[in-house]
Amino acid sequence: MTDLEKRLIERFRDRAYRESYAEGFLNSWIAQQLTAVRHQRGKTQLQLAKEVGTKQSGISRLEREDYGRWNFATLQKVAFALDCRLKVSLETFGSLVSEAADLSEASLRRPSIEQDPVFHGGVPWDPELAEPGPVGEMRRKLIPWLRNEGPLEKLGDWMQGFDLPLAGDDTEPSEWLLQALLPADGQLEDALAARVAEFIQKAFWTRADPGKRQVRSVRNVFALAEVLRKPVVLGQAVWTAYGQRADLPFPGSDEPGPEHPLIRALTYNQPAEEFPDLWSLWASRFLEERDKRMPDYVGAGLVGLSRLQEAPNVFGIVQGASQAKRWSLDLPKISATLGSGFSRVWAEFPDEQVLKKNVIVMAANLPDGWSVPIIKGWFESIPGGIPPELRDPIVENAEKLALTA
Amino acid sequence: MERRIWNFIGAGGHDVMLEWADALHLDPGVRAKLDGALEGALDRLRRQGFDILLHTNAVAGPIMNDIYALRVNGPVAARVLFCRGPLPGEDAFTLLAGAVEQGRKLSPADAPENAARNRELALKEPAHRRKLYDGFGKAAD
Repeated sequence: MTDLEKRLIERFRDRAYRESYAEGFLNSWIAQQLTAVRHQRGKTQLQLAKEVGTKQSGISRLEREDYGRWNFATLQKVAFALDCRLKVSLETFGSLVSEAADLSEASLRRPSIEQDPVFHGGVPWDPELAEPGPVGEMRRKLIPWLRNEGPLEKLGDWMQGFDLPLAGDDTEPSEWLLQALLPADGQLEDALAARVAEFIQKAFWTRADPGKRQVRSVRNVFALAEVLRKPVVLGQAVWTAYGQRADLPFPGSDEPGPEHPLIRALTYNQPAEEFPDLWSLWASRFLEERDKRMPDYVGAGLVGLSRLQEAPNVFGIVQGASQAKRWSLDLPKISATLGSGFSRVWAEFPDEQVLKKNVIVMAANLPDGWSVPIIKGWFESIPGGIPPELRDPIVENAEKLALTA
Repeated sequence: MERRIWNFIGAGGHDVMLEWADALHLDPGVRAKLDGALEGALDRLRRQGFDILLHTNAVAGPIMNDIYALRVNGPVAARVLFCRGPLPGEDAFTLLAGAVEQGRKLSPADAPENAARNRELALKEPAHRRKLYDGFGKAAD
């Protein structure tokens, strides 16, 4: 029970109070619902006035909370013009407690008979699904599917571009689903993330020779995972997909580069406790010089690391990987690569303060032999240089570490 | 989404809205009616926000720089003078002064000026000059 409901239950014991509250609520309800449904129908006050046979000022008056002189005949005319019926009903004061707590524009909207699901398959009316336009169309597909745990194949269809609204052909499938979830609803987002994880685990690694449609659905589902950013729900599935890609051809390219949706999905859904493993993997590949794109991998890895609340010990992770594999550290190469990685993170996410702070912490706290060349490499690789107010503390800290050593 | 509503606290540590309502010296039954009307309007402001209440004429203004009036037609034509915020970026309203409208004039007549002054004080000392609104008529119970 909300605080508002608790307060109303206490205060409604006073007759004068509850009657006065109810009167104001009714006046507000009528004015606001006329406005909400008129907007829902896309009508102006003038258009509605012509249909009812009155002036625009007459409709304007009806939409004022302080009008207070509505009559049934007029309200019924307006209701019919908005393709609704007028209902007059005696109600308990108890029902006002929840009505007051739930009052919103969405709760005031009503579908016209053409939009009323009762006449289209018997689905009960749900004001959340009344959004007009293509986003509303997608919402009416997605939300019942999430709530009723619809077949997983449907997600595959959407991700391949099937059964999406016709408007906006240039809208990516993942964008349709994300727009349909707005305004943000944590429960529905979690439900979608769970279905995406299920899809990744069950559906897409089953074919060794994927067709173009499957490639498209795979790329789109990773794009969806990247934006959803639910490490707890998605982390394991994306991580498993990353691990399996060595044994099966990776749909769409020979090797997943840092811009590939899988890598991006992994970067943004990496559970903290597993990240050192991923970093070690990247570090080992770097140390083995197997991949020329390693600086980009480091950049992607640093984004993931830097999103953690506490900046991790990059040196420890790289050194641990090196020792475990008995590799020697190639300091100049590591320095140049990390410098490039820091630069990339800095340039790509200019507004993310936690991330930038952690990059500074990581750079400034590397061992003295590492930090100076890394930081110099980083500064040199930033187009236009780094602002002095950020540069000076880093240099100072790096010099301090060097002096201590 | 609910917005926060703050009550302005005057120099003596008094809640100015409660002080104003008490100063109307209404009979208990009439006062309860006023409380019901005021709290209902404030509940709607908090739950539905500013724009829709401005459209339905429940909110009027600005009647002076940044000062709006919440129109509450209970047993008296009460006007709650408030502002949005006023701290930058906060999704809140601060109730600054009360008045009664009689013949298109506010009583007390200087209520808008008082509200504007209170807004400035709330901006300067938000921690000391505001407390979270928790039901309008609570003190009168």
